[in-house]
Amino acid sequence: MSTTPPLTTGPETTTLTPTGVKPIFEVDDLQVEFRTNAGVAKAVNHVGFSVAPGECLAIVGESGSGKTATLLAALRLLPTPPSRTTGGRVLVDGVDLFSLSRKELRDVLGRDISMVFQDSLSAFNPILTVGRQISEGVRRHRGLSKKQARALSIEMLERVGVPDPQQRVDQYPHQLSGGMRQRAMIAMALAGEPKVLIADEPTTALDVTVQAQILELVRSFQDLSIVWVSHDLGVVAGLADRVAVMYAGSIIEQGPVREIFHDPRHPYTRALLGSVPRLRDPDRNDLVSIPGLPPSLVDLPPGCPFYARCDVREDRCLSRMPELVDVAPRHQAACFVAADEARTHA
Amino acid sequence: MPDALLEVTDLAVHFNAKAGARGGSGVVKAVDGLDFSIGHGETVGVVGESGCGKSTTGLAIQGLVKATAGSIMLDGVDLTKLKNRQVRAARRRTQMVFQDPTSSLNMRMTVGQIVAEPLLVHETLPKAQHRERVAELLGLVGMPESALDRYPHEFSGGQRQRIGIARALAVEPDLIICDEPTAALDVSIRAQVLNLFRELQRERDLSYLFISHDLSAVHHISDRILVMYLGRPMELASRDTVYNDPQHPYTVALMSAVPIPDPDVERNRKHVLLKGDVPSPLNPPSGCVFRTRCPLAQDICATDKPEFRDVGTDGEKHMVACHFAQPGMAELVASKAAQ
Repeated sequence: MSTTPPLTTGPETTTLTPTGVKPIFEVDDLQVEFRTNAGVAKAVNHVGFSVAPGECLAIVGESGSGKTATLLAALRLLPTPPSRTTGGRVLVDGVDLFSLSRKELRDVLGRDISMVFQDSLSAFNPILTVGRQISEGVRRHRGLSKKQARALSIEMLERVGVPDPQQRVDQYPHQLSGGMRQRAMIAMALAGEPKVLIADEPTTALDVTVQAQILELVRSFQDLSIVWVSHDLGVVAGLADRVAVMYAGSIIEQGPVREIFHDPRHPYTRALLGSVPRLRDPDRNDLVSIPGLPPSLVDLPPGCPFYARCDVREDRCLSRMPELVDVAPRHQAACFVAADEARTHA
Repeated sequence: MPDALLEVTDLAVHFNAKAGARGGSGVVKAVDGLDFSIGHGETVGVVGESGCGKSTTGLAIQGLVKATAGSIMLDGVDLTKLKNRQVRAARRRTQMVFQDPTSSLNMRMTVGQIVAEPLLVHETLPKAQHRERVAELLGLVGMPESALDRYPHEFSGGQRQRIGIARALAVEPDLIICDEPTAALDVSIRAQVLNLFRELQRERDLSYLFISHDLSAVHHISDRILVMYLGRPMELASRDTVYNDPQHPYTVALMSAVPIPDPDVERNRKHVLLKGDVPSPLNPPSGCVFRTRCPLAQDICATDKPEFRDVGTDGEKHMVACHFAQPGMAELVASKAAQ
């Protein structure tokens, strides 16, 4: 781990993670808008979550639910305009990213927190060798010499299971297969020994057999804190300690992975789980399908965004957006009906 | 199966590859030695990794790429031997639904024109009745009649896929070739489309060739599943046999790689991990094409090409291309892979 002290000491974090430890990565009340031709799209609405050291938090949700926008905005990687972060706070090991200068931010990104993306081909610069790109970060953040950085690059490629790392380190991104490139991207992200790894659908474009290799690799880094964005509930089931479910720019449920899968409380989470075909379903019942579509982010209703598609909706759901409330220990849902059920059973 | 709707025998589709930046030239055997059939009202799923030839198989049946060898019999007529006029007539009986509903619908045509186009091409109905027929087709796939005069961009991905399905249904085909029809859709929308496929099948005795890398979707919708690797068939059997009693090590690895959306199951099962990537199709391994990644590979696998043979019992046909095909393959592969 890096021994450099944090650049600025942000306000002491007052909240602990649900497991009662001081979080390593914390997003608090984040709000992000995009200017579009149709109007202002509220892509991220009061999103907050935290990740403990060594923990893996999965963020699940469908296209346009705000998963990627949340993470990109948190790391200040979204172009402004068209995006605008209108509120919130993001702490990496106590350092408030929103209070840093651009230069200070560059020192944190890649050193304390790094990111892997879905499309490894566009994440690499096509005209630089893989080794050069892995070296770049560690030379900057850890002050290694060219020679040391090259040796580390080879070591990292070997660790993530790229065959012939001595030879691969001098190759260009297009010379690697998709699975190998994805490994190289993970090597690049981990070379700086970050405290937090943010992974945005890093296995979605891969074949299942290669995906299984990558998941096994990620699981082998047990001390790493991970935020894993995915729409694949199977991947999440095998990887996450906790799960946050997003819908129309808000987290509508979060809790421990087993509770989310076995005892989901929000009607959207329940429907989402029911819509996945199961390999062990012998009867082949029709899948649960959620009628309709998510609301437009440009014109979000004042109440619950899931109202129009919900099978337990009530009139009160129209008046205001339900807040995330405890429905079980360490388990929250943003639903009036779920909150009432939790109270009567408590 | 004497009453099969479609009978594919020893199908090969080869492409000439020119020397490129990656080097190497020669013949890519995208599909080679493929045998399978589809019965009336049956769904056959085709699974495999990128480049295994599953899409090429679909295109060859639809006549969109030329078969290099072999035959494709549709109700006793060999589609590979037809002349131009006959091709058109035969194509009416097979229709395709594509992966990307955005690029497979012409954005300058109204939904009504898109769905009516097969009717125009095949002249199955007087033009005056087209509008009425299109409205009926849209109703079948759960779209409002008001969609007729609107354009594809006005609809969501799931709705566009429904439009694509309505177009495929227009000329009342016997077989619909679905090439990754749900890959571009979100899970909740994917469920709607999968349910629609099954509902249409129940109502009209349709047959499907369902090509997908999404194994859970294929398992859900298929009666039988064909597993392909590097253009060759590896295994073909009923969906339950392929899942519960696969006899090809590749099928075992493929099934094991599909994550199961249940944390208790997913964390406690052993994954069979394949090493490396699929070899280049320009230079496939000798003998069994899977041997370079197979945990059971022996010397014979490099020298002798395994036959695609029937190992089924109890009257069920169960085709496998492996020298070591045997019941209990999943346990065998798991114990070998653990060593």
